Amino acid sequence: MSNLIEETDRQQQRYWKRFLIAFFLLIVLLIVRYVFGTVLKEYELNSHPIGIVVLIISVALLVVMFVHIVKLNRLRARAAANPQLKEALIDNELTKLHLDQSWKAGFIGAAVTPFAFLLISSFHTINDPVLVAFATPIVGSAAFITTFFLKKNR
Amino acid sequence: MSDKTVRNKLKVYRAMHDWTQEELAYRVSVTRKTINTIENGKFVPSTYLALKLAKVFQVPVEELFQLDSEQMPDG
Repeated sequence: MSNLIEETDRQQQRYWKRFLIAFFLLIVLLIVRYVFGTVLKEYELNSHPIGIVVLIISVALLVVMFVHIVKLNRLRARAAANPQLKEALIDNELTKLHLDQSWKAGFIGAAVTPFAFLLISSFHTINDPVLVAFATPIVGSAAFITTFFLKKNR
Repeated sequence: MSDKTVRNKLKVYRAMHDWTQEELAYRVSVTRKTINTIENGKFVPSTYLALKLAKVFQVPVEELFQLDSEQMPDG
């Protein structure tokens, strides 16, 4: 028996999955860009095609993420307008429990990141405070999104 | 996930009514995964959902859900 609740739930999972893939690819690209960016800068190769390709892919991934956030919000608005969908998907106590657990994971991820950098700085000098400032919310968000997705799909 | 252990006869009653998890989920307005996690003991539902489940099977809620015997208070 296929029904609207399951169809909407599956659709929501598909959107989450695509968003998550784009998000992790972007993180990998940011790491690659940071590591190799230092090398490229050293050899004055900033206008090298690799840098441009990485930039284009990063923008494309950001677009994919944005499109899926919009799609997820539209799906949520559609669910909120239907009492049965609202009860099954938005007010669902299991989803609320998963959200609580994901917030905790996100908070721990964001709280631990500066300490990880502190530990790394005792072996290797970190000259870029922007890196720490950016990494903290990114790790927190990654922990939140991953926990929510894994809990939902377990 | 809760560490509370509550036994349930959801699977038995579902089989008696010849309902799939999806069908039961639809009747109580939750997702199939919610029913699945309850049946497997991974998630203990709220009183509200437990009462709704009991209502669709037309049985008292304590027939559907029971505390594990070692968790029962003495007396």
